[in-house]
Amino acid sequence: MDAMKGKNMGRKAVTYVFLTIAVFASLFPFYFMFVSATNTNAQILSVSPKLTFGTNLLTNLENLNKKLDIGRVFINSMIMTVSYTGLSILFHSMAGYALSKYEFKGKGLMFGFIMMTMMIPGQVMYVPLFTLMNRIGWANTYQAVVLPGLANAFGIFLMRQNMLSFPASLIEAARIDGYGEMGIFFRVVLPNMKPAVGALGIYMFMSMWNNFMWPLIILGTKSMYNFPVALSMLDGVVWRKDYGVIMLATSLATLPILLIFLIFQKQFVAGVMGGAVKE
Amino acid sequence: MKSIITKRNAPYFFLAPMIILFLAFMAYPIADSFRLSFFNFEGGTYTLVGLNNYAVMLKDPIFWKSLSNTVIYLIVQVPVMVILSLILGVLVEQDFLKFRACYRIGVFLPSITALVAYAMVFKLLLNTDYGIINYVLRAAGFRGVDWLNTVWGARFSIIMGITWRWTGYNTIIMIAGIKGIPTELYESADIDGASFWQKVMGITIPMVKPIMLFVSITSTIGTLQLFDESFILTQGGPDNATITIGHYLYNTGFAFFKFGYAAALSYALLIIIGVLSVIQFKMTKGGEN
Amino acid sequence: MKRQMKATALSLVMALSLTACSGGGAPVTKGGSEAKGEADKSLSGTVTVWSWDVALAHLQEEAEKFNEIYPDVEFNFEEMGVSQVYSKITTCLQSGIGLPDVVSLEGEQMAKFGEKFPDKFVDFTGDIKAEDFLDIKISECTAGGKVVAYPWDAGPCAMFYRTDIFEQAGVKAEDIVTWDDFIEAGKTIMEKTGTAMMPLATARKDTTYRMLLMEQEGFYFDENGNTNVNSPESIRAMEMIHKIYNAGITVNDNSWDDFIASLSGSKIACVPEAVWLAGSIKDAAPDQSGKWGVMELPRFDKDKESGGASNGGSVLAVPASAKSKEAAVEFVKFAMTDKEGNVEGFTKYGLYPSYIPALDSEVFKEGDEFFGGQKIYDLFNAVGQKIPKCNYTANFAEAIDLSKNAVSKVTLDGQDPKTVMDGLQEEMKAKFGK
Repeated sequence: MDAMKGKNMGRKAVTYVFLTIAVFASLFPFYFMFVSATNTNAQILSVSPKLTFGTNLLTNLENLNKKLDIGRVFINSMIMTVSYTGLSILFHSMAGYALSKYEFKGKGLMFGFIMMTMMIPGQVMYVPLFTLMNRIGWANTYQAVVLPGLANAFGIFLMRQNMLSFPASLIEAARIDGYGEMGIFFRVVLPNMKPAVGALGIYMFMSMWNNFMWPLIILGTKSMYNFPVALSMLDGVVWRKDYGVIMLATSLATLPILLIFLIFQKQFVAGVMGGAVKE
Repeated sequence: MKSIITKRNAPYFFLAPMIILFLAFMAYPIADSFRLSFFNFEGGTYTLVGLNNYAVMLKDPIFWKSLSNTVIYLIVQVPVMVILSLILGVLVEQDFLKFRACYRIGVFLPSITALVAYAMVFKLLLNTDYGIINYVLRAAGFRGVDWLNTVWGARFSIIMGITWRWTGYNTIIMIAGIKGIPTELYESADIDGASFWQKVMGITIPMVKPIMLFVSITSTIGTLQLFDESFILTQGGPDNATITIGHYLYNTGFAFFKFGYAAALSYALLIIIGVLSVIQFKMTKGGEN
Repeated sequence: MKRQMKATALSLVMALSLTACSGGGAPVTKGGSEAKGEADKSLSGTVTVWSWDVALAHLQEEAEKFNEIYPDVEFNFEEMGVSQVYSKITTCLQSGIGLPDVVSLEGEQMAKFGEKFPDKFVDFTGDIKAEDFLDIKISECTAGGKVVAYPWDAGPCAMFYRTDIFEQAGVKAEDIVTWDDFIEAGKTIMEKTGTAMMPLATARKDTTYRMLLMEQEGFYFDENGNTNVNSPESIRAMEMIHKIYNAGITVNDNSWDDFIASLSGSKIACVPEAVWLAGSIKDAAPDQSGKWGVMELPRFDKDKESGGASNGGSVLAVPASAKSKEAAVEFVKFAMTDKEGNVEGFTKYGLYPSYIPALDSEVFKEGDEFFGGQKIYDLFNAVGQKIPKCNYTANFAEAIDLSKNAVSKVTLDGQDPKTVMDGLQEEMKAKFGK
């Protein structure tokens, strides 16, 4: 019995030590980023780096604003992310609804097609999309970033899976009550899909907020940059890179998503799991 | 008063926006990309070159290097991450654990950051002269490593970066898998007097195998498309030791304006990912039986 | 990128050091055209200019002068970083929408844009007096046999060295004639002072290799644009890189920051670099004033004088679809052939001119206190004039990238230079199709 207890104690100790190390390793880069945002370049690039908060935050902010209109970058990121998330919730749930609750010609084919596109990497489309956007005059616009990203099967799939279990009797009852098809969707089905919509929304929000390669290609001017592109431009300067400024910009890019995560943890986790364990 | 939308045609209305989006931004570019891969962009116009781009690609050392880099990541990084996330998942789901949510959140947090943002932080942490990682190594009596400028240092940096960014994410998926295991299995094992290890090896791992496979394959596909880390952290170097197909495709198309060749590269990527997806599909189907 | 960094640095330093030399007070502003009497109403419209940093500041001043002659031309300056200019101009050239009237580009990149997008830039071939500019800059501006841009600042290269460290080690600069001498001196310096002889990038860039190549009048491509990287000159250059690296006299140059740190920390005795480095040194290590000197790059053969090498510098182009094309063309000509303006661009912003008449200015004949009173610009002038013409071609940007990898192979992996260059030749030929 004592041996058993000892073994359990040992396991507990190992568990706590291991998990603590893991959490520390996960969080340290965040801490370092925030700390560095308040330090000077010289403090960051010293042989024994400073690991406590400094007093250079305002100077860094001032210098950052000289290089880049960070407010504008925030607004750009917000406009693209919010519109993308909103449209995704609308279009993907509509499509998911059609594929789960209706019988119609070509349904199987369409679902198969959508599922197939899930494996197509976005990078395959960048060259022709770049040419297309230039031709129709959409280069360097919000819609050039937002709309192609919406052609995304994951959202449809997630919504379809969640709607499959929605009771058909409720839909029938609504029809009998005289609701139109649109009314049923918007007033009966969608309000009951809050968890799934939340998961989808968070997932989409995150992926657009962090979107880099395509915006890098299609956004040409400073005034249109989203956070990742703006960050890469700060980093791309060779002469007199100021890491205090860079880390401040990185912190500012991370804070909103961190905040949203802390508020909507459950939906985050659901979003991740939704992608994995459904079938 | 009758709406034009009936039960019969409603699904088409619901699907219309997505159909338009798919046609414009998926079907068209994919077809066009295929067409472009037979052309070269020279002197301001496209000229037909037949299969030349594909022939060049098969002889292109950077193309092969980008593939072999991916294989290296695959062999080293994916197993490490899968095992690490499994361990974390198992540990976090132990009954006695206090503050479980804190550990879960802590480990998950890296996966919300923008790839560009974390790559920039890592660049600083890995700095040869001033980075904290080398500072710690030196304090412990080792020599500092020239992380970002040597072939294996740079590869290892990317591997560390990806592992940091994605382990928590995959841990959450593992936890979902572990939670889905029927508790009766553990209960009957307890009656048989099985130890913790026996339960992990005998029940947990076999039961989450499909999930592990899923994680492995999605991670592989993700690695093939890796761009941000390679672009920011190592610029694909040194000597293309860390370049990925995605990054090479970007350089070819948007730094050197070789649109035709970039299209051919993208088709190679498409085919490779297609094959992997089929494997995943087949294997996960197998896992369910 | 290069332009951006040097430019900012120079602005400060030059403003302090050189305006003092030019006899006090700002130089008199006179336009390139002497026809200053009456306002010319023949040109009008709005000229949009894309440029960066001090280049932009200089163009703004030129625009004011231009307006004294052509008051009806309005200017709209848009400041962008180098990479922003590239990504945006690429998009715009493809779509034909949103192009500016005047754009500054790095000279070495011009051929890529000119060849990939022919007829999209105004052809200056008939207009430009090529003999007024350094040959190398005319090469940069030439694409498909046409001069599609006006040369601006140049980057003739020489060897910057620390006179105090040389003295301490008992090494004399005048004894270093060949690269072999240089390596031997480097070993002595390393031994006696523990200071590395020079920075050498093993992965980040191929600048040193390219300098060695250009010195021997070789280049990546021959006059027909065919790949030529396994020429005897090229192999010799790469073998020298191999030798320098293996002598253990270098420090790795991983990033601009690392380089500046080792420079200001007196960890390197020499830097082979273009003229603009003078300003960067002054900026990064003001306490090293009087401790620097400049000599010609070492040669390969004792008895054979070498050609010069060049690195960096920008050009000015006008897109063919510019809305105010006439005014833009006139402005570019005006600004680039404004003798006093070119001198001023140097004194105020460190933009070392490629316009030969401007190089005759007294400013370039003064001694520089930072360099112990040495007349360093005499030397750069001489180098600038003898840099051979090169054929940049559309593939230059990719060639740099590939040759950078070759440097890594030779240094990091210790591979045989000849084998590496033969491999590089094959690879480039396959990719460029020639």
